[in-house]
Amino acid sequence: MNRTEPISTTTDDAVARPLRRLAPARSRSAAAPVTRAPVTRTSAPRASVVRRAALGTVGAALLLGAGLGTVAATGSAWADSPSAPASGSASTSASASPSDDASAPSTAAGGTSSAIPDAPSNIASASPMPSSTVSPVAVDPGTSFLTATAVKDDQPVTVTGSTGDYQYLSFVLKAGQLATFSAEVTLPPSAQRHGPADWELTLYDGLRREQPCVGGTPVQQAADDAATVQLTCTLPRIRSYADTWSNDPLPGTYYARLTLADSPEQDLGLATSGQLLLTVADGASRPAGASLPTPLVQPAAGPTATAAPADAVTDTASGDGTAEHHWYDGWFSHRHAPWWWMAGGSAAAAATAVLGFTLTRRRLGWFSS
Amino acid sequence: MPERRPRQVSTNRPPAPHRTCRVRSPQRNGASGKIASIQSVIIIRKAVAGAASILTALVLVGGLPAAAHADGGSGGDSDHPAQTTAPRVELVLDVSGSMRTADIGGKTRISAAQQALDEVVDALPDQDQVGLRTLGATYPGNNKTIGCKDTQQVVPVGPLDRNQIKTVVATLRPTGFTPIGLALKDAAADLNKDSADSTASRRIVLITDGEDDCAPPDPCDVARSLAAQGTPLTVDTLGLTLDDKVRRQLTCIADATGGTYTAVTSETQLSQRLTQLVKRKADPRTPPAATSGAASCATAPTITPGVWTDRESFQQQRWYKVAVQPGQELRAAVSLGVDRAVDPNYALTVTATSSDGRELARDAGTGSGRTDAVSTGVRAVAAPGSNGTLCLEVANAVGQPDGVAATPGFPLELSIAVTPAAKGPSGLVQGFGTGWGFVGLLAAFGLAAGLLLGWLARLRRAIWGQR
Repeated sequence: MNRTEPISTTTDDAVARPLRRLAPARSRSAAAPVTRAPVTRTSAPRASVVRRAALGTVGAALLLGAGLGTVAATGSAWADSPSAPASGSASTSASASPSDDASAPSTAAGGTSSAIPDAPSNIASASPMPSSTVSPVAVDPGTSFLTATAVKDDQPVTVTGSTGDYQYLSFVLKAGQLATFSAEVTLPPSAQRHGPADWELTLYDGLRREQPCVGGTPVQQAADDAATVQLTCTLPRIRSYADTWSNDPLPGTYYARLTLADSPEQDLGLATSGQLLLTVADGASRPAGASLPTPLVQPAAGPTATAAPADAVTDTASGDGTAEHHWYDGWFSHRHAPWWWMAGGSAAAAATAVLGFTLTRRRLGWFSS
Repeated sequence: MPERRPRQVSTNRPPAPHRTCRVRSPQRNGASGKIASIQSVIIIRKAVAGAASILTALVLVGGLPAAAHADGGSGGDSDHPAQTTAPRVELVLDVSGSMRTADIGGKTRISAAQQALDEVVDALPDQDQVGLRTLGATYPGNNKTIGCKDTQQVVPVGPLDRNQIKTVVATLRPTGFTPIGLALKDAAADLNKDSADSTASRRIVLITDGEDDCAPPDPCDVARSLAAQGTPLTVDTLGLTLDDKVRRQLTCIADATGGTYTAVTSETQLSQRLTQLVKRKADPRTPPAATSGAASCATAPTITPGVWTDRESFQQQRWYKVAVQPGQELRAAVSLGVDRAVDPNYALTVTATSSDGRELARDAGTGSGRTDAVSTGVRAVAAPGSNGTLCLEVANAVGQPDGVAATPGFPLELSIAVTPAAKGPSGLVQGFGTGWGFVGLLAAFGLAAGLLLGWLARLRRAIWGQR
């Protein structure tokens, strides 16, 4: 006991003392007893041999772990396309939380709609107008981006108007969501019409950039005798981050414009109605570990005369200005999660490596004679 | 040695209960495992304990992002309360001689309009501000010069007085000419005159059955130039006949001002549509501010976050400046209202540049065929060390058909926001994984590596013996 004590105390001191100063009590709770316990029962030379072997094992495990990390990351990159199904509960739970909750007037209450299959190709073949148990609500559609009427997901709405009107609706989407907007337009009586009519559903993002549809039929020609025409558009899955020079769909406001794209001129101004439905399916947002500080929600009102530009700038930059700042701010942010996962995974690998190594040395002979 | 004593004591103590916060477990666990590998029983116990602490640490880390909402901003300056001002509308009713024609469900056009107006007035809430102007109501003669000045405001724009409106409407008899252009001009003036707030948006609902027989000026041109003056003006039109000329004229007026056209075929449709149009929400709470873009960035006006309007003619480009500090992101959404006939294919390009002309981002909105607007948007980040100004160029590629006037220019609407710049995914962690599957995979390979090394060690001892 007397002989071994100096060895163990020096190692202990080296490791434990600075640590204890940083994080008293908690960080050393397990370490000190664990390292010291066996030393009291063995002789020093043997211990050093084994220690070297174990060190090698741990090093190999860490190397392996790093290599595997790369492999795993590459593997997950294959699933990066927006149409890929949500890859496992782990990534969903990790990425469902980015702080991109848009605080626009109507926050879409996502997650209630399960009618949408995950792959857009399925949506195209599915019924264009998903049935909803909620009874429709009549709304007055807006006539421009500024006056667009907010709608919520899974709440069918009915609109009335004249053929040729440009009807604007808006809704809010979050990262990872896959949204489908459907419209069923009831056409004027065919006796009043003079020819085929093209109806069009166009979706725009918060910056009024026209969005592609990854599924659905956003433009349809109504035949002379048709009573209704059905339009759908599935947006690409909303990404959590995009470079400023790219066009990827981002969290924020989205606009839908429903209108008559082309028809005989005599058919303008006739009475029509439509039933519209927004369905939203949640999913994993990519890229993981990134988010927009504020969703794409543009001002809808003129500049206020009182707010000087400099004031507005500092306001938006520092948030509400009352939040406390700490030196550890950001350590546990979404952005740094991969580091913690990697550290934890390496630790797990090291632990299981030691476990595996010792198993082969047991007299029980589970894995060896 | 008194310093070491406390730890000596702690060695014999049972492990401390709180071992959850061992974030640095890799090194500690490696160190403990290294020494402890002598006694496998103890080791396994410790490995289990270590693994438990690792998992706990991971749960903490994995659970943290859920609480990390603090670093997300709020909705920004665009999150205005949904305060809406009461609609301010002037109805312009055609009382020309042709309104005597009985072709709306067996009733004359004027009686259908009168009945619809009565119903609308009853359906409207008290705070709505509705005025009424007639055209062709008083001069029965044939003198065009006099007949084309025949328009009067019979109810001023103000709080709804149902009885007054109903009384006035009941006395109207179809009489004279159809000076639509003049009536629109006067109605726009009425809305300005009767408004306490000169910046409030103006809306006119025109109910007519006939083509303007007083042109020039063409009522469509009148509407377009009225809309170009000062605050936004919208004219919604209701045609009481399906005549081709009337429809073309009314759709032209509606398109020129961003309004709508409705062909009325029944009295019910008229009253429903009229109610919908009057009730329509007044345009934005704080109306857009007018600006005038320049031909180059150096001379451009500075615009602040909010909505701005400008005019831009065929094939023109306009420059604006926005104050954006380094580390901030400029977001601009731009729409060009297509308020007249244009060539089939059109485009609008927005480019953000640094103040010295380097292009940062651009986007284009394109289209073909019938549309009310072509729009696009752009995001750009001010680089560190920039002088706090970014430039925006808005250029349209809209073709001018023969016989279409170039002035006034198309209405241009810019919605500007300045936000903190977004942080991209960290480049440092390229190749790192996340999630429990990843941790499990690492652990499994660690186990495999440990077993392999153990067997190799045994093999070595078996072959070369133990020293």
